[in-house]
Amino acid sequence: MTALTPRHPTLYRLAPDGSIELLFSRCASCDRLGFPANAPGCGHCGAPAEALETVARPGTARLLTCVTVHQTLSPALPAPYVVADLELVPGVIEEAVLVGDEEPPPGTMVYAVAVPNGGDFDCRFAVRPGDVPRASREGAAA
Amino acid sequence: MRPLREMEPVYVAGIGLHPYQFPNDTPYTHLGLTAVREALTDAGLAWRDVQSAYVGTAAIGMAAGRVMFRHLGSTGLAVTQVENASASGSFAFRLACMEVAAGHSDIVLALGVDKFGDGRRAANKDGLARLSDTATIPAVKFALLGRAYLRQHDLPVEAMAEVAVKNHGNAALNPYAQFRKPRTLEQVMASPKVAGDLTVQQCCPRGDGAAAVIVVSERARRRLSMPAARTVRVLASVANSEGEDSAAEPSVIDMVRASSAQACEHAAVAPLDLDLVELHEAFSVEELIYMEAMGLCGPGEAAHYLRRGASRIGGQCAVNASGGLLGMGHPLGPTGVGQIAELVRQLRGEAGARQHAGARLGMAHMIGLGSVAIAHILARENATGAH
Repeated sequence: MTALTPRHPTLYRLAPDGSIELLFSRCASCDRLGFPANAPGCGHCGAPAEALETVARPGTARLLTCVTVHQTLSPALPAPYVVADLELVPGVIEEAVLVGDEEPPPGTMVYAVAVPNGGDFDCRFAVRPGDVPRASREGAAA
Repeated sequence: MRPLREMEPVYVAGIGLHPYQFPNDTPYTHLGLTAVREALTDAGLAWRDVQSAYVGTAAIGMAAGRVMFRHLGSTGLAVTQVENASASGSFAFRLACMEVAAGHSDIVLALGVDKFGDGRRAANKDGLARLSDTATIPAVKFALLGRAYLRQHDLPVEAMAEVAVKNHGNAALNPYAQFRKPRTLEQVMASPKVAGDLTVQQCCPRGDGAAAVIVVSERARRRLSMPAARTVRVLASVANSEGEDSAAEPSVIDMVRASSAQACEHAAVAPLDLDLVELHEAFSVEELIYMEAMGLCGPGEAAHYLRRGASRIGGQCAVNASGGLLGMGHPLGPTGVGQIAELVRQLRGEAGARQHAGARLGMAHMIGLGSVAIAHILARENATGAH
């Protein structure tokens, strides 16, 4: 797994302990976190990119809502899959993809997991920390 | 911000459309010219009378206006192309109204025209990655919104499907609509699932078409002796965009609330005074959510309002009498202008089988990717100019 690189290195990275960390910006003007880290300005107070520094946070999030997408709407995401609005940190809400086909209830804590995708890994979210979907185990063994 | 109502009076004097239809090979010029000619005839005007034209289109490409208008005659009028995604036509209308309200022009065209196919979006060119590959796709966003709404108010999935039933029924009465057959709840529910609780018939179709309205000043209305019964006053034009998202409430809801409330304030009317509302129900659940945000009914009450017939033609406030985006269609550029045309037709008492009796006041509300929102309020005036 550590040989794989993040598909979106501006959004997440592998921490030394093998977990996934999300990359945020912290604004020197308003002290708030933004996502992604490389945004060209602070979405909260409007400070320019120069005021932002990248900080890593554990890949945990609070699930607000989720649904199953039944039709393939993007070639990179074949259906079916479960998509969710996640609150990554207070005030930062992003759409993300869950592993598996469960639809957890609102308020569930979810955890970022690395899912191999060719030579890269994607960041998906799972209900149980350390969840790795069966397909990725096969991918890692191959 | 100065209300439109306090500027020079603005009227819609002519409307015209090309029917909305599934993607096809008809050149956009034919669609647009059909709508413009119908609007000119409706207003009793000639092309040379039009001083300025705003062309709302999301997908045609650069410089659509003159390519089309030269076939009406190269009169040298000002031509401006306007793009605001799904709300392109609404913003073309807004700019036409503002030009007349400012006293700059007397007769201005707002045309919405589009062809399906080239919907490139800036959100995919911002150089920023996203955790989900469908984060910029509205169907997913509204599927999530819909699920949260149904859960919040403990509503069954049929509650949103009923919107599609009503609007397809209205569209069946609309000769310009893309869909012309009523649909049952069973048909809507049985259509293929798209995302969450949204089935295909609860999502607006792809298509093209055109809609045109001609906006005139009081001066032009008098000079040309336009009958008061056929000119409809534009009382308000308000536009805004989303604030920051929060876990407490999706930002789109506050955006709709704020734009519609300010439009009512500018028009000096209350939401419950509205006889008609045309709104952006590209996905069925939006109609329920936005009706509440607009104050047509209380929180969580829109499904009941619909079930008891209050949003039907002939009910308390006819919502999407045209058939809406689900039934009439959503060809993008034309959609917002088509909403205005429907309100004008209704307020003139010329809506035939779709007529909402006693219609005096209507609101057209649109949303575009971004998101942006825009609201217009139109009123029938009596012969003395009061409304």
